[in-house]
Amino acid sequence: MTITFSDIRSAIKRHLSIIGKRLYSKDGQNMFSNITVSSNEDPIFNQYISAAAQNVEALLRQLVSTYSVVADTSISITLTNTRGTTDYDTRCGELIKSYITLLSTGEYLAMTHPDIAEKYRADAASAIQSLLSYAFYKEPPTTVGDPSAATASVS
Amino acid sequence: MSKTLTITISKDAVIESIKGDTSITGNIDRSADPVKNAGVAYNEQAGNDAYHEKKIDRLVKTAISKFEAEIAEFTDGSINDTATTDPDTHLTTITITMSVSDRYNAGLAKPLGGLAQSYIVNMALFGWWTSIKPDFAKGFATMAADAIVYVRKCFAKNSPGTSTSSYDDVTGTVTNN
Repeated sequence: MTITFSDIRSAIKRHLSIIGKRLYSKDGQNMFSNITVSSNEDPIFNQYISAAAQNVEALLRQLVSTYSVVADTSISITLTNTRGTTDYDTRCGELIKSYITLLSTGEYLAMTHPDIAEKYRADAASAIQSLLSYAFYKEPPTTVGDPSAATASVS
Repeated sequence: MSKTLTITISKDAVIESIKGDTSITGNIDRSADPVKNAGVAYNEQAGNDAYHEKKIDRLVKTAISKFEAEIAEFTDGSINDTATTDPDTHLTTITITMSVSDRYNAGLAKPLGGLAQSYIVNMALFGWWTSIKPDFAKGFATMAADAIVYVRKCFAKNSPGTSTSSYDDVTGTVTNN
């Protein structure tokens, strides 16, 4: 699966936009402009995204067959589970993207809004647990042989 | 005169049994804590990573050799098998052929096939778990040893054939030397 930085950044920005629209400071000021980020601040998110992707690589190292980075653009990870579920790639990809988005949002908010950041960190922890559990799930073996075929004869 | 005893086992079924059995154990361990034990279960469950497959092949081959050694005393000639650990040679069946006395009781041949398979699977599982859970592994060695008890019972002999000459015919000279 490929993690495109611009997709993750846009997901993070949507989270921040929702928070900003609904949050007011003590003196009644809307926090939208305070919380949301401009595009020239993107590099900080690239750093969060790279760090989160490296967490995934480290935790799933046994299953990672390739890990390649196009700087500030995308990261491609190939997970190989020889008896994974049929939609393994898609499901793991969704969980990885969700984890990276949540963790990056939490890291950003931790600088100025640690109380809100806690929710994102907890969600990221939950997402990585689901990913670990799912990525390592091995399907039962396929039925190929007939155990009752064992026999012996004398000639 | 000798007879040839041929034991035929599905290699696919043996390997599937090993994978299926370890899959059950892995899932039990996994269910205790699906997150913490996810990697544990993955590594306990045999197959289908290439290095797992090689280990399974080696364990099956060793189990067959042990089986042959267990029954060696019942042959009056040679024992051969078609098992291989060459990954490029995929066999769907394994045959063990041995020369037996012409008084071998063929009525017990069929259960021998099932018992041989049970022994090979359990001995291979013993090998698999020995390096992971040594105490747990012992149960498989016990089951393999149990199968051998019954394997030995399958090597019964028929009664000797009736002599064509009468006992009274034997006179002073021994001619049937």
